[in-house]
Amino acid sequence: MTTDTMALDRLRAIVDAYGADPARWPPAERAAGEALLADSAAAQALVAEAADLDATLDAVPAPQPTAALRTAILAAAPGRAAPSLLAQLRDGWRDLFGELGGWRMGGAVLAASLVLGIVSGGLLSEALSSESAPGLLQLAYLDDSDVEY
Amino acid sequence: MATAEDDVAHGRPLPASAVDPDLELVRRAGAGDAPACAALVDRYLAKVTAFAGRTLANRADAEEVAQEVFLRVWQHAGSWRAGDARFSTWLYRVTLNLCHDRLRRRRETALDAAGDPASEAPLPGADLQRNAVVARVEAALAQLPERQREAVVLCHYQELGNIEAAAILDVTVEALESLLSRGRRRLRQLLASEAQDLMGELR
Repeated sequence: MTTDTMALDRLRAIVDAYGADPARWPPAERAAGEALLADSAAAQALVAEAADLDATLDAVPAPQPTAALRTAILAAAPGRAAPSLLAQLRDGWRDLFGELGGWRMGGAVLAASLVLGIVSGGLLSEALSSESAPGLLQLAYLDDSDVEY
Repeated sequence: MATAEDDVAHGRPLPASAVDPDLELVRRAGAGDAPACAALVDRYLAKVTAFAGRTLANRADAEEVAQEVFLRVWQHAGSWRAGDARFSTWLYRVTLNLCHDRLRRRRETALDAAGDPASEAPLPGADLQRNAVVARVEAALAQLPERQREAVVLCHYQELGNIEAAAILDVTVEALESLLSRGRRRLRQLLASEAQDLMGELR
């Protein structure tokens, strides 16, 4: 076996694997392969055969990303990412508090809550005292799944 | 399930060039530099989408995978260390792992639905209205065994070097070459009966 034959065998293996385009060949063997290709009709024949398959494969276009995908990815990038859920809740409460007047209105809101609590407590107490004993028992049983009616 | 992130974290040998061309950009992106983030997306989004699209044979799935890939990029960019792996190698590995997850789920769903092994028929997603050549080549690619298809996609379509492609597939360069040879031989067989028509339509 001569050196040329060996080189042709190796070029055949390279072309079988990587195709006809020297740009896809292993960098370390590219120059030697191209030199053989320039001198050998046999090498040119096997490269031509591989080129047909390459051209057929190249007919399939690459799937392209949409502009919306790019926008969505960049929206999540460092420094522009959406805040965490905890941060969103904290900011939501802060906004609500601000809309209610902030600390300046805090006293008024507290006083209103106190009055509302006293009034509703009194009304509820009166309503419960007017309920009959059997009625209260039925109310208590409503949450007891073991009781059959 | 092992991930590419795990590979990096545990120091598994991935080829790293002396200077990773993406290193500076990744660091700046990790620090919240908006132009760097945009540049990184513009450099790799099309490649990641194309790779996922050809691996999954489904455009919608490919876009979802691409989005997941970049979420992981954003998570890891701030702590990216030089020397573990080239960024592009890690990126393709993450993409491939996410594609494998989807292909596994797809097979499980097919098994649940049909009760028999997944067919070797072309994967769903081929648009019947598309060019006949494209549809036939996509069908042939879809019939390749998974690893052969991935090798062909990485080396032919993504135009990656053999060392990086082998690292992404976690095989030796010799094994990669074998996958490629068998894949291309099978493609020639699958397309042989139509080769004349195909070349005629292409010319």
